[in-house]
Amino acid sequence: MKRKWLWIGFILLFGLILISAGGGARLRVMVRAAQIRSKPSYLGSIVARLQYEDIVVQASDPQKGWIKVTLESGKSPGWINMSSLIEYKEDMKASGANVGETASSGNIQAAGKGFTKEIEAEYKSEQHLDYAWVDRMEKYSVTAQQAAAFMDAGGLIDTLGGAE
Amino acid sequence: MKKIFIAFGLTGFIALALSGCMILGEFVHMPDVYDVFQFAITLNDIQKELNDFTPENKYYLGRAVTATVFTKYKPYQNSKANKYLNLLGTSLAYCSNKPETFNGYHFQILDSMDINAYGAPGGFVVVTKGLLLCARSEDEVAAILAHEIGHIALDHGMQAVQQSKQSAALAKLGASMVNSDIKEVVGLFGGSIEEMMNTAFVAGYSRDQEKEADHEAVVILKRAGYDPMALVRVLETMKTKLKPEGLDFAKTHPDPDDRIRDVKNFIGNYEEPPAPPSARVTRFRVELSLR
Repeated sequence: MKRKWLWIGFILLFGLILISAGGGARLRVMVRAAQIRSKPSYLGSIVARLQYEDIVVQASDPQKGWIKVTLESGKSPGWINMSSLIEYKEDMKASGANVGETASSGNIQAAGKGFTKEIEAEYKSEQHLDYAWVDRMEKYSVTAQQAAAFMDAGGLIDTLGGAE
Repeated sequence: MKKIFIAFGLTGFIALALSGCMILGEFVHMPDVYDVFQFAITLNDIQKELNDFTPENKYYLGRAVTATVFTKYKPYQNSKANKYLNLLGTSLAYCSNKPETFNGYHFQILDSMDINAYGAPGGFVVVTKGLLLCARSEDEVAAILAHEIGHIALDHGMQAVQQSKQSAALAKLGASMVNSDIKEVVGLFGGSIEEMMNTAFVAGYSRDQEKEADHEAVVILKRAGYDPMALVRVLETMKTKLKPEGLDFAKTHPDPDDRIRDVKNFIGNYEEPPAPPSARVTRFRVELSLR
């Protein structure tokens, strides 16, 4: 009798694994900061804030450049613009060290990432290149709300949705 | 034992059927075939990016290219004008097919009367005072910026690198960077910058890439609510100002007449929009006074 229940348990577990394998694709955030929003628009309220390399799970089909996702935990369902994502693959090497950290040796420890902050630092000193104005340029920051207000004042369309 | 195998088989079948329903369910409620088609296109696009440079790679390339541009052109230090350009440019970027780059879009005016602009990977757009002075309205400035955003959205800068002589060496970057010598990668990085600078200031993009960026600009302008014909108007003004021997747009861009013809064709049936509201007219004059 005990064995029978054990087998039923195994079978249920097997079924659950198969069902979860058939769920949505895992997608990786590839921009410095991204948001899950309540609707497929930059004017939707922010449901969750994401960082570079966070993982989200596809929850439905894309709509005009946006895709419905949840966190890996299944929480915070909402919409994210697809231009901030790539499909996640298990064999992709983690490279969190590239953002906000510097190389400590002559080798690129964070593999598979190509041109990163470490390479920039090396190139900059080799070329004696001044990045001051690029850094200043990056300080110009326009939020979705500011863009929407700008478009609204100019009698323009402030849907801020991206692709049609 | 046989029973157990059958039970496993049945459970597996039911589970697969259920997950199949979930996937099918995504499509069943779709309003039309177009969305299904778009689904395929967009996921495919995501996968393509995986085999390519990451947004982070493009960002660092873009920063280096822009820093190199600043060795040729001085930035125009007028925070009011630059702020306006960033508001306008970012609003347009939100209407593009690539609203997000690694660290957003950024715009800077260059203190030069040359007629030139460059949209570097990662979302860095520089545009000369000379080119902005060709624009007689906000719609026309929007047309200039939308064309550069188009080059970025379509990854033209990266294509120039990938089509270059060093593309074979670059192919290594995606796959086997473990224990690569940092000097070697820095060499490839420098080669890519040179390639992009060459495209921007010497050879120019291909005729087809310019055409694609013009088409993308029209799409962005329409989505944002600007007059797409503003691109034609600014090209007409540029035509009168370009010097054939110049080292700027005249050298790196196709004949404006060809572009004007093509843009008109792409716009197709055109209905002149109502006059822009006074707020749009005023802010263009006040915020972008470059003289």
